[in-house]
Amino acid sequence: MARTEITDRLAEATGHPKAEIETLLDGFVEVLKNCNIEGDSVAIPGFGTFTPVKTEETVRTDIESGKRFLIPPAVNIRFKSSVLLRKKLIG
Amino acid sequence: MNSRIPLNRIAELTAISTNSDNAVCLQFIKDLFSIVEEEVSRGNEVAIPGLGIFAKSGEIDEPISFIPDEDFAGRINEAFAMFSPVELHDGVTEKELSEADIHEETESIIEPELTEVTESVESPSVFLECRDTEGPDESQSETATIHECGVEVAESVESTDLPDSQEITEPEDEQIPEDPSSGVDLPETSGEEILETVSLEELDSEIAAEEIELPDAIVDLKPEPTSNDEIPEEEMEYVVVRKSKSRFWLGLILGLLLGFAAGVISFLAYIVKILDIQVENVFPF
Repeated sequence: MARTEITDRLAEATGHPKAEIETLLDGFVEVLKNCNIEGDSVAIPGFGTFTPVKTEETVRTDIESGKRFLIPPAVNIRFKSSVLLRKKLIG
Repeated sequence: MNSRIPLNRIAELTAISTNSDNAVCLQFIKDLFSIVEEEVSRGNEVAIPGLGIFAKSGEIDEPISFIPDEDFAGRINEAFAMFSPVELHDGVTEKELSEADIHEETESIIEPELTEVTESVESPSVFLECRDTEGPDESQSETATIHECGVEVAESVESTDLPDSQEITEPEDEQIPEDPSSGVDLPETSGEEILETVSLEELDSEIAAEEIELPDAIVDLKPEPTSNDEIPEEEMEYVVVRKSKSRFWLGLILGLLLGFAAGVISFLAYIVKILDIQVENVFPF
């Protein structure tokens, strides 16, 4: 589902014009990203939580070549779905 | 940081950034994720530009998979972006890696201390130049060097064969030299200053004058006066302090004696008065 489809469906659902929907979408995405970059997690009730997680450096081995690599630490975004959503999807 | 931002706060921030209403933003967010949930449950992928892609994972623990957008992932990991995977050699183990990290941390703490000690031991002449520049003969004789620190004093004393009585102390400490005529005495220093390093030849020329006789209890480390050179001010001050202490005790004793005498006199006067009264009673005429 691409951006245009999302904006079309949102405009239809909310009754607002597409330009406003696109502005709101860009604004919301930027706010969510900024919160995560600052180290805060964002909770969407009924859907899930976006949390920045730091992984420590590890040693991984390439199975094919057998070489070992020291993977540096990194910060990633982890999404965890809510219990309600899991129940809906799993059944 | 490390806090959980609720939906209301996100809607508020969105309204501020887009100059919109809080309620409109809140409803927009709810509608957005309801659409995402609906599409994912049908098995479709949903790509939100700038955020990432939501898809059905099929796992029981986490039914929705989320792949962040490249720009988003890059900004999140900006602090560690300069690092890249490094290939390890065969002999390197994970234990060695962890020990190397600990060793680097401890080395950075220990190194400054080691350099200080080695420099002072290996180059006493350098130390002399830094501390005392009164004469040109300082650097010539190692036997004349006394360092200021405890460690350095021990090493220099051992190497120069100085007598054990040549302990360097502050002027407040009372120390009687075991052999004042050894000729290796050093001048005393004030309590505030760090002990200085001077040569023995200079010390002989700076010995206290005969005008002031220092009590034995004073920290001297110095030879008997052999010249008419002036006494350093530090010693003068110390002598004045000693004299004022003796005057204090003298005054205290005198005061006690006077008080005792006054008490005796008043007691005698009282007795005489009583006796007079008794005499009058006995002999009224």
